[in-house]
Amino acid sequence: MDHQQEPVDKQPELLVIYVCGDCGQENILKSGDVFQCRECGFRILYKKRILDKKGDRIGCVKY
Amino acid sequence: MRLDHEDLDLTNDDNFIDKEKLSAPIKSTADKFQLVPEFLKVRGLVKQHLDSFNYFINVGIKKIVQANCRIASVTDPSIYLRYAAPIYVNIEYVYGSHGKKATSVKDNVKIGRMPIMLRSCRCVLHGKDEEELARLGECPLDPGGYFVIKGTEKECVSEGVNTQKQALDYLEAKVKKTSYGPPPEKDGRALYILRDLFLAHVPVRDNNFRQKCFYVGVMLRRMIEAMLNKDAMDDKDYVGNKRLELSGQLMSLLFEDLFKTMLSEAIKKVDAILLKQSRASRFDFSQYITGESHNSISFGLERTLSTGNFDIKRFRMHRKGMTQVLTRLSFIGSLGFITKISPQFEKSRKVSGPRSLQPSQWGMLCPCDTPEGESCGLVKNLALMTHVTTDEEEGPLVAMCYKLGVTDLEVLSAEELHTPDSFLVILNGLILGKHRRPQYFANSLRMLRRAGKIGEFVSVFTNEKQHCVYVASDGGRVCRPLVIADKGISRVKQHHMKELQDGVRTFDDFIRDGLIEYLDVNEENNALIALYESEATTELDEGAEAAKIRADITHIEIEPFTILGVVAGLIPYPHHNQSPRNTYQLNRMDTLLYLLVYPQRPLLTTRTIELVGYDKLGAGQNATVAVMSNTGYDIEDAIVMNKSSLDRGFGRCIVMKKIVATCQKYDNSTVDRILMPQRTGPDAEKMQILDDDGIASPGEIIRPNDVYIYKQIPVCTTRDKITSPLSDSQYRPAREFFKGPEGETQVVDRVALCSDKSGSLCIKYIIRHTRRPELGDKFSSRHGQKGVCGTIIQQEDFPFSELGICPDLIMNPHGFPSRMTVGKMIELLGSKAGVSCGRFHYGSAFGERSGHADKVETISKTLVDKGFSYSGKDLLYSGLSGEPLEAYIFMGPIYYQKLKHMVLDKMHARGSGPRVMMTRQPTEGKSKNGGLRVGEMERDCLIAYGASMLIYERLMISSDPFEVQVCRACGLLGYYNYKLKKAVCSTCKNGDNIATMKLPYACKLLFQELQSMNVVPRLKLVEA
Repeated sequence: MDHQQEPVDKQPELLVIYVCGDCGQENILKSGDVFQCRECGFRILYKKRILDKKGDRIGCVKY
Repeated sequence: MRLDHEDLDLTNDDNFIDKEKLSAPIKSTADKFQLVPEFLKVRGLVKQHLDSFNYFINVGIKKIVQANCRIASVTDPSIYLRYAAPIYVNIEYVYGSHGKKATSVKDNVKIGRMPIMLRSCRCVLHGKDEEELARLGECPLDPGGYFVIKGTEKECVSEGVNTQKQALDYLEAKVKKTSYGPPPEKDGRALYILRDLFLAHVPVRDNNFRQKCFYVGVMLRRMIEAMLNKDAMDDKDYVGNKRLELSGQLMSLLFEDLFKTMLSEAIKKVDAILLKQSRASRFDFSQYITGESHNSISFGLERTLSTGNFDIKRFRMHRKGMTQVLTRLSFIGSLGFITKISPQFEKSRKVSGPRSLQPSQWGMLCPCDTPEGESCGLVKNLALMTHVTTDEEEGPLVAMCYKLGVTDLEVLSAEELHTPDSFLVILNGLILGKHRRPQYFANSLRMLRRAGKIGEFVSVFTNEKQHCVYVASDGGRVCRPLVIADKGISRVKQHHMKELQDGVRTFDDFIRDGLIEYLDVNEENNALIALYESEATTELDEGAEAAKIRADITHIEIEPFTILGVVAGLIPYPHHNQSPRNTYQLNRMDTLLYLLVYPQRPLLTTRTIELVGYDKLGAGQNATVAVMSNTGYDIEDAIVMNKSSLDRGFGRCIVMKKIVATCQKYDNSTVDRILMPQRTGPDAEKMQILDDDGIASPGEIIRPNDVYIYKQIPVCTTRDKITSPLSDSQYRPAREFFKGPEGETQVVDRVALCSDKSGSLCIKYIIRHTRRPELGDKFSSRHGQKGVCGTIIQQEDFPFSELGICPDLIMNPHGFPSRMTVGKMIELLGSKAGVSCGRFHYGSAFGERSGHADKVETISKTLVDKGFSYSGKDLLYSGLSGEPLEAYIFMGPIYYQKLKHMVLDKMHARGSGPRVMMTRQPTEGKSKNGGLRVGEMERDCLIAYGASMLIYERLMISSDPFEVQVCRACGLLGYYNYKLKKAVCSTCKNGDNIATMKLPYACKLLFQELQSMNVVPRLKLVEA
C-alpha cells in the first residue's frame, strides 16, 4: 500500500525489529536468539513501532 | 580576633545606619521577593535531604569508620585492622607466621555498595544543567532527593525526634532494668553506667565527674522549678526542642549498625581461625570483611530502603514505614511528599497538644498542609524557606566561647552556679560555664556569625527565664533566613536587590555581607520580626510607644507567603478562604490525575507556582465557569459540563497501565515458548495484534480478551531433567488475554523485552488508555471544592453571553455560602481580567500589600476597561429558549483539576459469578468480580418495611442456598444416600423422620462448626 510496508510480510517468518534501550541500535532477532543488543550488549530491548503495518488501519496518515 | 568593643554592645549597631537615609523621606521599600528564588537555588525544599545525604557521604561515613577504626582479635590483640576511607577502605593489618609478625597495608578494599540519593554530590546527575539532564533522559524539573531501589523510587521520610531530656529520662529507666551489656569491668557496673551511659554527651576525663554532677544538679533544679511553678514547664510541642532526622542521619545510623555488625562478625571468624593450631594457608585478615559472601552492608542498606523497616539492633530500634514509595501521581504531589515530616510517637493517643498548631512553627512548618483524619496535625510539611541544619564542628565553637569570656565550669563552685547576676552557657546541651554579661556574649557571637567567623547555622539564644544562653550547632534544627534590620530599617537596600537582579550578587553574598541570617526557632524568641519594612519604618501617628517598638525590631521577613509550604503555595488567595478548605485542597493535590492531555498554566498564578515550576508541569485546565443553577443536575456539588468542551479536550486524560508476561525457566531445564500466532482459524481474530514473534505490537489497538502473548508452557515442569527438545504435544497453551473494561479500546504504547533476575525473558507492556470525562468523574478547583460531573449537555443548550462566550461547566452557587471560599471568587475575577487584558494575574498568599497578589479593586477596574461588569457578572441568554436569563450570572475562568477517582475504575455489577469456597457466598470486591452486599443496615430497612420475601431472596436464594436433610426426631442434619435413594439420619441410623429443606450454606457451616466445639444445635421443624 505504501513504502512503509515490509516486503517480508507474506513470508512465514516475519522479522521483527527491536530497538536497543541504550544505544538505539535496531536489531533483528529470530526466535531462539539471545535477547541482547548486538551493538552494545544492553539487555533491554523495545519493539519498534511500525506505522500502518498491514495498511488497514482506519484513520492512518498515508504518505 | 580583634573586636571593637563598641560594636558588640548592641545587636545592631548604629554604624550601619546611613545617617542621610534617616532624615530623607522614606523611599519605597526594597522588594525582597527576588531573594526567595535565590534562596531556593541554594537551599530549601529538597536541598535539606541532599545536604544531609552529602554530609553523610562526605563526613559522617568517615567519622563512623574512624570511630571504629581498630578491630582487635580477642585472642591475640596484636592482630588488628585499620580503616581510613568510606566504602573503599584502606586496611592495614598484621599477619603472623611462626611467631614472626609483619604489617601489611591494603588500600581501597571494597566493603559494600551504598545506594546514592538522586542529585546528591555523588550522583551522576549532580551539577548537570537542564540541557544535559534532558539529554541523559532525566526530567530537568525533577528535584531529586530520593533513592531508586530495585527500580522503585523510595523516599526517606523526615522524622521528628523528642527532646533530649525525654530521651535521657527514658535511658535512665532503661539502664536499671537491663541485666546484660558489656562485660563488667573492675570499676563495677554502676560506675560504668554512670560514666559511659548516663548523660553520655557530657565527657568524663580522668574519672572526673564534676561536669556530670553539675549537669544533674541543673536538671534537678529545673525539675523543682517546674514543680513549684507551672510556668517554668517546658512545652513538649515546642518546635525549638525538636530535631528532624533526615535521610542522611537515618542512613548513617543504619550504616554504623551494619558496619559494626560486620566487624564483630569478622572478629568472631578471625578468633575461630586463630584458635586453631594448624593453619594451612597464610592468614589474611582482609578476606573476612570483603568478598562476595560478606556484602552484608550493601545488602542491608538495600533491604532497609526497599522495605522501609529500620531495624537497628544496638538501639533496639524497630521502625516501620521509614521509606515510602514516591507517589508519582502528580509533580506537585511528589514534591510535597519530599517535604513531609512524620513524628515518632504513635497516633493512637488522644491528646490534642501535638496535633494543634504551635505558634513556634511559624515560618518553619506549613500551617495548612496536614492530612485529614488519623494523622491530622502529626504529619507536617516544611515551609518554603525552611532549612534543616546538619551537624557542625563543636571544637572551635567551644574555644570561641571561652575566649569571649565564659568562665569555665571547673573554676566555679556549686553556689556560684546559680547566682542571679550571671547566665549559664550551654552548648548543644553541654554546660560550658557562666557568663556575667549574657547579652554582650550573645551579641558578640551573633556578630561573629554575621561576619562569617562561625557557622551560619549556629544559633544563640538567651533565655531570661532560665538564666541561660543556649548555643546550638547540632544537626536537625529547623531554621529560616530573615533580613537583618537595624532599629527597624532593613539592611537590604534597593541597590542590593538591583545587584541581585544583575546577577552580580547571590544569596550567599547576602549572608556573607551580614544582610541576611538564619534564625532557628529558639533564636527567633530573641528577635522582634516585622512583617514588612514599612511596618518597621512608618511614621504614621508615631507615639512614643510605637517608636520604642520600632527601635526594637531586629529582623524583617523576606516574604510573608513563605510561611506556607510548597503545596499550599499553589492555592491562589488562600488568605481569603476558610482555613480547613485550604487543608482539604492540599490533601486533594496528592491524588491528582494520571496524565492530562492538554495541561494549561493557571491564569491566576502565585509566586510559589513559578518558583517550583508548576507552571511548567501543570495538572489542570482553565475552565470557564458559570455560577448558576441549570437543569437541576448540579445540586450537591455536581457540575454540569459542556459536551463540546469535552470534545475539544477538556479534562481528557491518559491512564497508563503496565502488564508483565514472563517466559519462565523450570527446574527440569524446560522453558516456556512463544509461538507465531495463527493467522487463520477460529482464534485468529483474537490474535490480530500479535507480531510474528508472538508478542503484541506497539501501536496496536487492544480490546478486552485480545491475546497479547501467544505462549505455551511445558506440560511437565517438575520431573527429571529433559535434555531432548520437547515435541509440540508436550506443551499446553497459555495464551494471556487482556483484561480491561468492556467496550473500551486501549492502545499498546510500548513493549519492552528484558531478562529478570533468574535470567528468564520478561516482556513488559505499557497500555495506554485515553479517557474523556464521563458522568460521575470527579473534578476539583484549587479551593477544596470538589464535585462530580452531574450531566453532560450539548453546547447548543448551554447558556451563552452576548459575546458568544459559552461556559465549559456550570457550578451551583450553593457551593459558596457554607464553604466561604472567597478566594475562588477572586480567582474567577482575576482570571477573567487576566484573559481580557492578556496578563497573568497573581494571587500569592498575603500578597496584596507587597504587590504579589492583585487587589479586587484593580481587577474590577481592568474588567470595566475591557467592557465587563466590575462584579464579574454577565448577561446570559438561555440556551433552550434564547431569552435573556433573569439574573446576571457570575462567570469567568477557574482552574480546574481532574481527580483520579473515575467512574470507569469503579463501575461494577454482576449477575452470577464466582463464590468463596468455604461459605459458598459470592465473592467481594470489584477485582474478584464480586457481588454487592446487602448489609445489616439494609437488612434492617427491609425488616422495618416488612419485605420479608426480599430478605429471603437476597440472603439465601441469590446467595448460598443449600439443600439439607433434617431429622425431625433428633433435629440434626442427615444426608441423602444415593445408593438407597433415601435420606438417612446418621445419628438415629434410620430415615424415618427425615425432612428436606433449604438453608443458607453458611448456616449449615455454622452448625458443623458448633458441633466441632461440642455444642449441639438442633433444628425444630414446624408445619408452615
